[in-house]
Amino acid sequence: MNRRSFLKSIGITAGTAIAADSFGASAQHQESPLFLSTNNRDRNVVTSTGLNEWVPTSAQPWDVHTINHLYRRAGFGASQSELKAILDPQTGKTPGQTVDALLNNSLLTRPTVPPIPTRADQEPPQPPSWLRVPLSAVYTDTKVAEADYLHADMKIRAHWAVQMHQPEVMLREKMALFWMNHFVIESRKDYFPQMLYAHLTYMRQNAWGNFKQMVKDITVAPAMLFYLDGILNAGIAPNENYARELQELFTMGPLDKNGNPNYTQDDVEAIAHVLTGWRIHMEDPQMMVALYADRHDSSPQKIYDGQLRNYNLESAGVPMDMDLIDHIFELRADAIAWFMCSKFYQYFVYHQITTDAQRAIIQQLADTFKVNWNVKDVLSLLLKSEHFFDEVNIGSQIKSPYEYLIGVLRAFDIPLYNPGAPIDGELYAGTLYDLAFAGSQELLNPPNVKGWPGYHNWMSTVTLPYRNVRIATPLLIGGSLPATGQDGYGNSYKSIDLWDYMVTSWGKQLSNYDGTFDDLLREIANYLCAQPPSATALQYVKSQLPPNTYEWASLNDSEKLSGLRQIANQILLLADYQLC
Amino acid sequence: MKRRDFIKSLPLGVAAAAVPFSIGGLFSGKAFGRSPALDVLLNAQGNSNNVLVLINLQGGNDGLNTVIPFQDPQYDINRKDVGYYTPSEKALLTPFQLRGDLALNPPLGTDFYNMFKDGKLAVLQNVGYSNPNRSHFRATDIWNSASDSELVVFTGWMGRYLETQVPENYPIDIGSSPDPLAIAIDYSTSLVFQGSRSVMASAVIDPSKYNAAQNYADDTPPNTNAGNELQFVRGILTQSDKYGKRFKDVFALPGATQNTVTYPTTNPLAVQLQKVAWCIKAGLQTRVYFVSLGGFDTHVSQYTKDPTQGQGLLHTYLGEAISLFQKDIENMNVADNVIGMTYSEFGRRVNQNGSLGTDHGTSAPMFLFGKEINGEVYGHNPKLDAADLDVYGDLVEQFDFRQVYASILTQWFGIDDYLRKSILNKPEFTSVSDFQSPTDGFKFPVNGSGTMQNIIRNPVPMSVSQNGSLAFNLYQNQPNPFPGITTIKFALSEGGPVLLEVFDGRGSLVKTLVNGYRSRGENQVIFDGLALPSGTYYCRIAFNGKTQTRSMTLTK
Repeated sequence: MNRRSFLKSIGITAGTAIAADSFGASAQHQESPLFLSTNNRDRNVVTSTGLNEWVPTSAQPWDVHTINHLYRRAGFGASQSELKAILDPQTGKTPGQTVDALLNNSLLTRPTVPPIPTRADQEPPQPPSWLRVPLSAVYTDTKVAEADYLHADMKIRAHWAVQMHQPEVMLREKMALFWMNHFVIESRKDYFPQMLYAHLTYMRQNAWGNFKQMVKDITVAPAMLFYLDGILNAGIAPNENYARELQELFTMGPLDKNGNPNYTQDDVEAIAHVLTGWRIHMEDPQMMVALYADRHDSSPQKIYDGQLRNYNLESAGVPMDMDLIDHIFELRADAIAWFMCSKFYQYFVYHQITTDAQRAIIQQLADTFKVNWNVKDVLSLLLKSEHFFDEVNIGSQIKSPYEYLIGVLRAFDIPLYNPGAPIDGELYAGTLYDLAFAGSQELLNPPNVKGWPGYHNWMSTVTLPYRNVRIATPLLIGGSLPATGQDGYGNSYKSIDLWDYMVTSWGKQLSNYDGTFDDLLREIANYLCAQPPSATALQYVKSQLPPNTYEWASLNDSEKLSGLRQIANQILLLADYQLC
Repeated sequence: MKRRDFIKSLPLGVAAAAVPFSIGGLFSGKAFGRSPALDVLLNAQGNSNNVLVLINLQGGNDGLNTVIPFQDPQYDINRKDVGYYTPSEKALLTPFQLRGDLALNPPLGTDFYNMFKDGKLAVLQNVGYSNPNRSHFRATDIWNSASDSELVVFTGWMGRYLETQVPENYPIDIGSSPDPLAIAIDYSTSLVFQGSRSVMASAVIDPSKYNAAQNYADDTPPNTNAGNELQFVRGILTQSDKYGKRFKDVFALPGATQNTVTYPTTNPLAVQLQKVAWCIKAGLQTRVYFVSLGGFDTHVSQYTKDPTQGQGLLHTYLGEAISLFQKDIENMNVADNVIGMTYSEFGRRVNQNGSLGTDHGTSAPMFLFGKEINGEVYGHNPKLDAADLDVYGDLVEQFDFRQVYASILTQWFGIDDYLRKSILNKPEFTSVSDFQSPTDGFKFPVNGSGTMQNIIRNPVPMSVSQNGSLAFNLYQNQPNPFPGITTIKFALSEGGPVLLEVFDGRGSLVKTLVNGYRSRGENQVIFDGLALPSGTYYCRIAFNGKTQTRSMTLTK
């Protein structure tokens, strides 16, 4: 669809003002239709949608509601200025163009290091010393300050939070979260910061890469060899740890789509034998891995089909000829495609797969995926689809701690990272780390090899009040997310502030800033929540506000500032705000 | 109104009249620590005051190095490096012997061992299930959902039990108990508490510092994915709001957060059990607590013998935490109604691996503890001869873990056979005085008077009908015969837990239509048989320990 027909489909042609809809836009805001069109939606509608590319209609236009849906799922939500840019008749993008921009391959190779400052007083872009030394130097090389190692994992987490906060790379970072929760490592076991950073960087660079190649790479990645005991898997007494998870968690899952087992204990043991003998060169700054013949069991093995085969893993020192992985992908292609596409579906659309219609969609994705295992093809198909934009699915996910935190900052346009002062950005991000950790998500350190279970598990009688009492209200009413930690060099984290001018500039972008209270309340609610909150919920919000707020039009700017904080806070406390 | 409240609200004369009727054969004359008559009176279906503490050992605790068959030559052959092998190593076991050929791992500690000596610690050997799964996650789910190995079940056994105790729209309506039915000392709850409609537990890290979220809206969200998720979040908001206020009241009382022992802050399990002790002392009506200890996945450098690292350190934590907790609640005089149970997703391979560790295995011992536990070793030692192991070199189970669950449900929570079958979906796991090994006919020890010994010293009497006024009726479905869809009505004289199920002509369960609280008066439910073959089906209602069945004819 070209821009012109797209704009027509949402009722706008360039240079033409849109008529106010029935929900009372005031005349002077007719030129700004952005936040007005969500009230009409019938949330009870149950539709049957597939993977055809979604085309906005007058009933479901490309507007704050649908753009924010894409931005919340493919990232961490949109700021008001981003929403306006997308809808701008001159510079705007269609849904398809927006997805394509997020999936731009140049984003994969955009460097993220340097700078990661190792200490607050260090000049960027000096690369951190711990990235330049071999694993064997950790804690032993006197030239490298011990503090650099002790706190390097915190630097990586802080840096990651800063990346999430940047809208251009939000999908890349969302996929990095996905992959780090798929090819899991835990910093409590993989304590080498070089290893953690290399693993995360690999996930970034392959955010929508080739899945089969990823499995080959991860099988001999230093962080994984270390985490699942590959370096201890030797000779005639193999360690099955990786061989089991390779199948159960990383590729095909225990059961296929019909509930039949994908592999047996014999397959686990056979693969463990094939993968014996790998070690990491601890003295090599590049963390080179190699196969050691004296630790490797080269006997032929039967995998899946009862045929004895020799697997070629003996080309030590050169890129590994992973015919084991080729064999797995050949014999279990359907199961792998189904398992992975189910995970993509759960991550981006809805976590419960219960209907035949959902299964049909996942099967279509799987058919696309198994052609050449390109993740990008699947993501592009899914994120542009009618099914992805189906009202039934909008607002059906529970926000993870980082989706919640980064989402709050982005919704109110609170800066976290000033490119000219990356050190400041890091100290701010440390505050985010503290908050997310207490909200049960410590990056790089999921609870076990299956990662965070996520979805309903993000939400409990611990985490929900934590979000409300420790994050929403302190930020919106108190004006800042208090800082509690230190960066390891004696520098305290900085609190993240929502200054009055931020609230004011945020509020003045609203169409109803000069309108009536009811319209303003609805507009803010519809911007902040994935689905418009019910009349009962908005009535409750209203009941919590000082009565003078209702006379919005008669308030002065200072009273409006206080009113905006109160309204936004009460909406963040709604159950609705936990959904995306 | 819940059953218990209903009974409490009866005029005293009526209640008293029911008492002599009920005591009769139910008690063997042992003192219970409180009035048996009162117990009978208050124990409606599963409504005892008893408390269960679930201790989940995550990662797969190596059973052979927890309860150690140190005289077995096969143990020496298989555990040269990760076990007690040399004479000097074996000598370490002497003060921890359960009997001549079996000992606790010494890092569990003398205090823990003394609980066994005092008859408060039961060791159940070789607990597992047939066709065991060696995946952490699948195996954990199997234990929590109490499912067969091949069956994926999305609810937990505790969730299925607890949801018979509350209104159907729990937690939007939390019913009459002011306290959570179950508390997980964690950031989130576990599958074990998942009911068919909602989560039956609340997560709390520290109830004395709980910040409640505020509740609002009571409208019904649309029946979409998004609407259902909104309802889920609102349920948690409601729990947080209502229970949070209660925590605030309870823990504001002087002494509410004092213990009689010192729980070391460095022991991650002890700090959780400390909170449980507070809750019990405060008199919360919470029935089940969940705590956990992770790190048991010892593929590498297992360090069983070293109390300061690896499995040894975890055993230090475990033994110290449990023995301190038991001491604490006894000192505070609240131990009579509390038992605890440890469980782990699997034990580990008999033969050590090449990394001084052990890989995923199968059955393993469980611990049950408390004043009301018959402290014994139940079951034979693990059979380690190659001929007795499965094809992967793993142990074969002697008991099914659902027998242990059945014992707790019936003997500790006092639910009747019918509900027990429904919760466990395994009629063969009866347990009450029949805790018998399915594989080799082993039965529980016989006590001095020649009767079978239960795990629980004084089993709670199963639900009995205390009052004739609790009536119900299952009406014939309409229409009948029916072409696919039919309406089933039933009437209750008082609100209470109802189980309504449909079985096919072979007696197999086709569908559970109702499993939960239903209100007084007439209720109805739709049965959809469109996907079923024509034939005769049976609809059965269970209420107040009694059942009624009607046949229905499906003609398509």
